[in-house]
Amino acid sequence: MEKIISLTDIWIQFSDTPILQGLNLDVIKGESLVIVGSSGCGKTVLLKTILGLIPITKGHISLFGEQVNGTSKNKIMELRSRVGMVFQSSALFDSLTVWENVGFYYLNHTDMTEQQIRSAVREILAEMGMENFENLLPEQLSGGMKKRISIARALISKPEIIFYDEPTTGLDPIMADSITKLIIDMRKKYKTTSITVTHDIKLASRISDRIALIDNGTITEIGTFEELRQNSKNQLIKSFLIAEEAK
Amino acid sequence: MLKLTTKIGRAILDYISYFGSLTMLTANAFKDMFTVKKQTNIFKHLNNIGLNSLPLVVIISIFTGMVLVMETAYTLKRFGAEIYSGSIVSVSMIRELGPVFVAIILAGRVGGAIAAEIGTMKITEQIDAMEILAVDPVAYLISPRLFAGIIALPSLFLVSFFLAITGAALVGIVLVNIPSGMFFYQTFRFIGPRDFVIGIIKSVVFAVVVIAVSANEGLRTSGGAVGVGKAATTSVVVSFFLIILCNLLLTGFFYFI
Ligand SMILES: Nc1ncnc2c1ncn2[C@@H]1O[C@H](COP(=O)(O)OP(=O)(O)O)[C@@H](O)[C@H]1O
Ligand SMILES: [Mg+2]
Repeated sequence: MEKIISLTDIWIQFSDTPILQGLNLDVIKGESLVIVGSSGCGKTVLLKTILGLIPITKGHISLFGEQVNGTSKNKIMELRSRVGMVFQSSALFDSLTVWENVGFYYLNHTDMTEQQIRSAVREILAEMGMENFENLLPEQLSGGMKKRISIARALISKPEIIFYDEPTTGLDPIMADSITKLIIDMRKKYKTTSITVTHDIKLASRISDRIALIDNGTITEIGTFEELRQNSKNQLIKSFLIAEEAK
Repeated sequence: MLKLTTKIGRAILDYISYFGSLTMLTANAFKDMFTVKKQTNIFKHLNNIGLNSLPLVVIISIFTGMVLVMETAYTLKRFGAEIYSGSIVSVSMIRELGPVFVAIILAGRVGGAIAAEIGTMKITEQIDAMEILAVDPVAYLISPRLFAGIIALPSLFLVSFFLAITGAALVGIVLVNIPSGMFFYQTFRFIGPRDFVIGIIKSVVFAVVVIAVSANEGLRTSGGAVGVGKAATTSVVVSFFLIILCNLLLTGFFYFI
C-alpha cells in the first residue's frame, strides 16, 4: 500500500499555545480518510500543515513521497498543483465571477484560451448541477451553491488528493445531503484520495474507509467506522454514534 | 526589572521582524513584477490608483497653490517683493510638498483600501485558497499594484505641480496684480530639471512605501472584521510615518550630493 501522505511527529504552536503535539498519520493512496475531533482541536490547522501553509515547530511532512517542510517555494507550488482543497468557508475569490473562480487554476497555469477554459468550466459545473451560473459573482450565491462551486474549483484540475474541510457544516440538512451525495459521486468518478474533516457523522459513515480522531494534539484512535463503533472509549465518538443511532 | 527588559527586547524584535517582512515582501513583489502570467489587471489598478485619485489631487493642488500665494504675497508686499511669491510655490511644491501630498492622498485613498481588501481575503481563507491553487498571492495581488503605483504616483505628482502653479498664478496675477510675464519668470527661475528628477524619485519611493505597507498589513491580518479595520488604520498610520521619515532622509541625501 502506497503512502501518499506521511506525517511524523508533527508539533505546532501559535505564540505559546500548543495545537498539534507529536501527531503521526499515514494516508494510503486511494483511500477516503475522515478526521473528527472537537471544535478548535486543530483539524483545519492539520490540513493546512500538510500543504505547507502553516510552519511546523518540529516533525516531518511528506506528500507524494516528497518533503514539504523546509522545501523551496517552487517545489511546494508544484506539489500543491497536484491537490485540491475545499475550504470550510468555501473561500471563493469574491472579485471574480463563478467561471473565473472555477477556471482559476487553468487561467494561471496554462495557455488555454478563454473559450477552452469556459467550456471546461461548463462541463464540471454541469456535473455539479450548476449550469448557467458562470457569470454570477460569489455574493449572488447561497451557501450550498458556493460549496458546489468550491468543489468544482478544486476538482477541475483532476487532483490526486482532495481535502474537504467541514463540507456540510452550516448547511441545512437537505443541502448537506446533496453535498454528501456529490462528494460520493465525485469520488466514484475520479477515484481521488480524499481527506475530509467533519462533525457530520452521517457524512463520515457514508464516505469513510477509515476515521481518525484528534484529541490533545495527536491521533488517539484510527480505524474503520465499524471498528470505532465497537471499540471506541472516546466520549466524542460515542456521542457521534448515539446521535447516529437515534436517526 | 527583568520583565521590563523582556518587554523592551520583545518590542525591538517585533520592529525588526516587521521591517524584515516588509522588506522581504517588497523584494518579492519587485521580483515578480515582470514574471506574472496575467498582467491584464494592471489597467484596473492604474485606473483605481491613478485616475480615481485625480479629482482629489486636482482640488488639493490648486487650493494649495492659491493659499500659498495668498499667505506669502501680502507679507512679501511689505518689502516690495511680492513678485517672488510664485517662486515660493514652485520651490516648495516641486521637491517637498508635491511628492508628500500625493503620497498622503495615495495612503489615505488607496492604501487603506488595499489593506482592507487583502485583509478580508486573508481572514476568509481566499489567500490560502490561492496558495493551494499554486498561485503566489504576492505575485498575483501585490506586484501589479506596485507596478501601477510606481507609474501613477509620479504622474500625479507632475499633475499636482502644474496645478499648484495654476492656482498660484490665478491668485498672483488676478488678485495680487503681479504682471503675468514677471510672475511666470520668477516662478520657474529657481527650479530646474534636477528638481523635477528629485520630485519624481521621491514619489516613486513613496509609492513603494504605501503599496508595500498596506499589502503587508493586509497579509498580516487576523481576528475577523475588527482585524480588517485595524489593518486599514495601521496601514494609513504607518504609511504616513514612513512617508515623512523617507522624505527627511531623501531630502538630506539630495542635499549632500
Ligand atoms: N493562524 C493562526 N494563528 C493563531 N492561532 C491559530 C491560527 N490558526 C488556528 N489557530 C488556533 O488553532 C486552534 C485550532 O484551530 P483549527 O484547526 O481551525 O480548529 P478546528 O479543529 O475547529 O478546525 C484554534 O484554537 C485556533 O484559534
Ligand atoms: Mg476548522
